[in-house]
Amino acid sequence: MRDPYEVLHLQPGATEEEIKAAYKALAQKYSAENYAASPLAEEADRQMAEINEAFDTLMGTLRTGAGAGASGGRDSRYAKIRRLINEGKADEALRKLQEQDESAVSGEWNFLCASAYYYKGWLGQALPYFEKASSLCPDNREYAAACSRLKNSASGNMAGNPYAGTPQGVAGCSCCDMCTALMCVDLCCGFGRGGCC
Amino acid sequence: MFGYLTPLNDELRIREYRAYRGVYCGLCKELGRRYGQASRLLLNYDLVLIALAADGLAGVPPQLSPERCIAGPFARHPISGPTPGLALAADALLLLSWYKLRDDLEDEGALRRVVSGTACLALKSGYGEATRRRPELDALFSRCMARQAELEAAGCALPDEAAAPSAELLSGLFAACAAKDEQRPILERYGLFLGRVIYFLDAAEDFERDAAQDRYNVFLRAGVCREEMLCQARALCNMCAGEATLCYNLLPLQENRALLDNVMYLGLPQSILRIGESQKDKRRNRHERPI
Repeated sequence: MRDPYEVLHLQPGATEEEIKAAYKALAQKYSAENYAASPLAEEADRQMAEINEAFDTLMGTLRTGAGAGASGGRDSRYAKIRRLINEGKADEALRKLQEQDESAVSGEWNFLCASAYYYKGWLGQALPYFEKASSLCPDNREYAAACSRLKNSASGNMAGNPYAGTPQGVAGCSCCDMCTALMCVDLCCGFGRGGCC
Repeated sequence: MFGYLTPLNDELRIREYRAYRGVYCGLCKELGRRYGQASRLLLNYDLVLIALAADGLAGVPPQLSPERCIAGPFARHPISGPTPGLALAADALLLLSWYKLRDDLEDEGALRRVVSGTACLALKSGYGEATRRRPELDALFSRCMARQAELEAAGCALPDEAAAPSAELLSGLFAACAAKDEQRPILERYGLFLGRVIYFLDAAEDFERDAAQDRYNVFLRAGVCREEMLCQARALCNMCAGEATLCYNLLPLQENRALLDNVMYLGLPQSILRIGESQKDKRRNRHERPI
């Protein structure tokens, strides 16, 4: 499914009025009446169905603050919690999130919960929420990036590791290829000299 | 304290090894100068990292000069002279040791209590001196120790929560290494994650002993078996070390980078790899002594 905001030609965070107005305009455009007996009726029908679905998703998000399909589904309440976390008030954000538990349905709820724990450094708590957020909204890059970074480091990878590629953190001969290459060069040179003399 | 934040010696260049050893010995001498000869017995490796970070950020290289040492009086070897970083490390070490001893006085068996009590008496004047020099660190350590005791008394079973006081402690300690104010937030977060790694490593190492002696251990409270505990603790440590590295990479170190790189990217992962090993196992598995 495409991003419902994109389907309705809206910016993420659009108000209820904007969503309704956009839906009305598009619905008139693709209305079945316009395409009656047209060879394009089927295509119009498909687009109408997409618009309907997008409208339902966005309205659902607004009403419940949820909407698993709405990757950008951030109503003002979530925006406020996001701001709290950015200001460093992670505990307050967590309290607000727990007041209205939408862990089962909302990617954003899970992501914000994870972010608040992440801010505090409680990574063991943060990881499952990041995972849940990106499984609810697989298309959301922000969720996916946060999740995969933490999983990556959980398996022992470190960003910017100058010793990377060496087994179990112990620097071995990481330039084996180079050694082999040099040996080959050496051999060639030796044979070359032998030939000359 | 812990001994987890050390370099992997096999991978050090000789001059880096000399510098590390010089700073380690320098910390020992600094303790003697500031707090009397008895305090030199408190020496440990973790605080060397504080000295290296603080001087590295301030652009002060180790002030190495050949000196004799009480532990090897016949040969001179390079030992670092006083630096601001060593002063910070010595003060922090004294304060930490004081709180550790006070803690032992309450928890440990009779013999350890006598030893800790004697040590406390010997350190009392040094503690007063250190408090005068670093009142903010003393307040921080005292607050974190109290919080840790509270969590333990409440039987906290959540590793992330139980590690919070250690995280706060190291966060404040590393923040004190800042050469400029804008480095503080980076150092705070760096310390926050290192504190967590250390707490988890420590809890994993004490797991069996705590089980046998029926003492508090967050992983015991969480009700997991040893294998499961090691798996959980390793993942937690890896994540925290990964985050600490992201902070570390932002630090504008002017000195000691090669040494600190080794500690972060080789020494720390090595400690995590050996999670759960007792001190005895570690000694057996190590091919050489740390220094």
